[in-house]
Amino acid sequence: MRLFSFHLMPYPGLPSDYDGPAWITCPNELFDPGLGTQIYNRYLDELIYADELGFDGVCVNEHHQNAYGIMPSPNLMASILARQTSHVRIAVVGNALPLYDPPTRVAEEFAMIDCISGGRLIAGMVVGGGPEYYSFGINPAQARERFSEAHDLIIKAWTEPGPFEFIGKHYRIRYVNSWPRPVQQPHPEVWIPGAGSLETLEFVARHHYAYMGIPYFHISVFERMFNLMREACEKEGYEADPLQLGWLVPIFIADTDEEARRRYEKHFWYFVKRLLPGISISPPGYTSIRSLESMMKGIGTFAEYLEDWDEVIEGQYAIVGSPETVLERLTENVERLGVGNLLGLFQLGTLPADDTRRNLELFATEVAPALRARFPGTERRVATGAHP
Amino acid sequence: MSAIGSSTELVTERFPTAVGAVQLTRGGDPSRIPVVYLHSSGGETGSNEVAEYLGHLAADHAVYAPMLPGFAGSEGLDQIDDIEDAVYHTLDVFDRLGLGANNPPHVAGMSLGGWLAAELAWRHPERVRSLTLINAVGLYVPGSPMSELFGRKFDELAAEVFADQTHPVAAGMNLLGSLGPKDIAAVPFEMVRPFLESMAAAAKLGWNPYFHNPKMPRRLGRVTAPTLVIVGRKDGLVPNAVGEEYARLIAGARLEYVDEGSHMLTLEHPQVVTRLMNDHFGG
Repeated sequence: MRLFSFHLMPYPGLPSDYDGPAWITCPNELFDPGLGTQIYNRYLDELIYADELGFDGVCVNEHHQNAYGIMPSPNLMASILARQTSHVRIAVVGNALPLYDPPTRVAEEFAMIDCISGGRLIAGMVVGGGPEYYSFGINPAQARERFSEAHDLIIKAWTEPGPFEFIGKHYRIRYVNSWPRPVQQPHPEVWIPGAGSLETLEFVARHHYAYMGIPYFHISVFERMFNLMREACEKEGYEADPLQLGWLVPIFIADTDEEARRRYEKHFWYFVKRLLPGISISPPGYTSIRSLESMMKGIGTFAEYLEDWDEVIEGQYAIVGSPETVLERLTENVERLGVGNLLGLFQLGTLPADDTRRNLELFATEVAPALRARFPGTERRVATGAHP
Repeated sequence: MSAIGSSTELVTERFPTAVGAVQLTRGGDPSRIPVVYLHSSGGETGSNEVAEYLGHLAADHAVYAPMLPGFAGSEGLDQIDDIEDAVYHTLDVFDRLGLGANNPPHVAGMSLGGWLAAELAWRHPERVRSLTLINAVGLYVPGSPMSELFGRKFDELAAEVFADQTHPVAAGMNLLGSLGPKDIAAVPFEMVRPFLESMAAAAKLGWNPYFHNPKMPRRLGRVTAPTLVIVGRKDGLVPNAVGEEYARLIAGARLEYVDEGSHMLTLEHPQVVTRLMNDHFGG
């Protein structure tokens, strides 16, 4: 399996008297640029440290106008990481394609990162979160068709000789001729994050891409989601490779279970009670009715509605404890979910730098070797990109 | 002529159009002068909610209330991307109902339907016998922004669009709004499906620009139909300023206020709206 360190780059400085949403309408006066300078640099250091500790990859993602994750441009972060790391895969999970107009911008910037890093990019593509459709004014009822068309344009820009003409419904460019071209041929591995929408699962299966389950639900919701993904692959006539599945989960390790909870719990609650509110808004038409009906089953288990620590542990919303406990729980769940990519959130909410670094160290030294031995295999059986 | 207050049987059917089968409610003597009612983003002709209002109209007219694609199972939403598509789809419905330029209907629309009616009236004046705009959207008035329709809690929205929170539809919205996330998961999906479908269809037309056509102010001078603008003084969703601006920009338009009315006027005050419309048709 492959082990990744995922960073959301959360804003840790929401004042205690602010109890509104962290999204769309969270007043930007609450952002302290001085704190911004500190945390951007600190968070980048934490990702670079994961490279030094031997992780397989690091992950960044894209969100706008919110305190949950202050990476409106993950490509800026990825370009820094391309220079300042030497081994890790750099997974941008992902670019919200409908927010780029024209989306050839994504083909260009991803190719730049792939060139600078010497072919270490994982190209994530995402529909974008519900709040982003409010923040950008893009019509959510056209989210899926824009995403699909933008995806086709980007893949074509990477794989077909330019210049060529692209005439779609949303994007019309008479001269597509992307410079630079990516190092990885025919194109970088593609990851698609999703929260269980059937259209996304079917899209990923059809293209033989990898699906990253968006977290913050009860483990049974993930189990259902990954089963749906495997079914979607079967319908396409093949068996899903575990490396086509990724589980994103908060992880915290300390010397003992008690100490881990003591050091971690308040930072976890800051995350779920302060940064998640507002994330789950689903604008009209953004999710199809059949997917809404399917996803409705899990909605009551969304982490924002958690009330006590026992629920957190029981539902595996975060894997917290001594190295032994964490290894045991991760092993159980990786088996149960059948995933080949583990995307750990080693920093969450207000978790400070020293705890984050020690967490990464304990994972790399006490947990990762056993996981790797238990779940060997880090290459896709069939290389991505070899499919239509 | 029947007295106001009586109502006539309505029939709801599937009706073929160029974009697929849509839901159509019709009533009254087909040989009478036709009235077309265009619904709001709430998709209210899909149920019995405006049956009383349509029934009153049907006493003296041939009444037609088509549901736009995406609402109440009407097909063809994939072929509707903006209000212009909705206008040409509506003209197609008129054609198929025999409502050509030789037999133009009175056209009334509430909220989203009012916007559609106004667009129809300036593009094809010959197809509209008279125009009635009921809390219509479609115009942006600087300083008087429309409230948020999308992503609201049911109870907050009910407070903005109903004057009487005990109205059955308002009461249903308040009940849904009172449920926590875990209870929502237990609500039968069929209860919320019509609302989700209506909002998805409305978003295609009104997400951005937000329920208005920026070119509308310089087009409304083309409207020739006698126009009645009805505004609910207590409308919490669409500012009265929008109706007032319609009345200012359409030559000869008459502006009427319903003092006790909020946004969903045809649901809450069917008699008042029908009386104003019959006066308008007669004059």
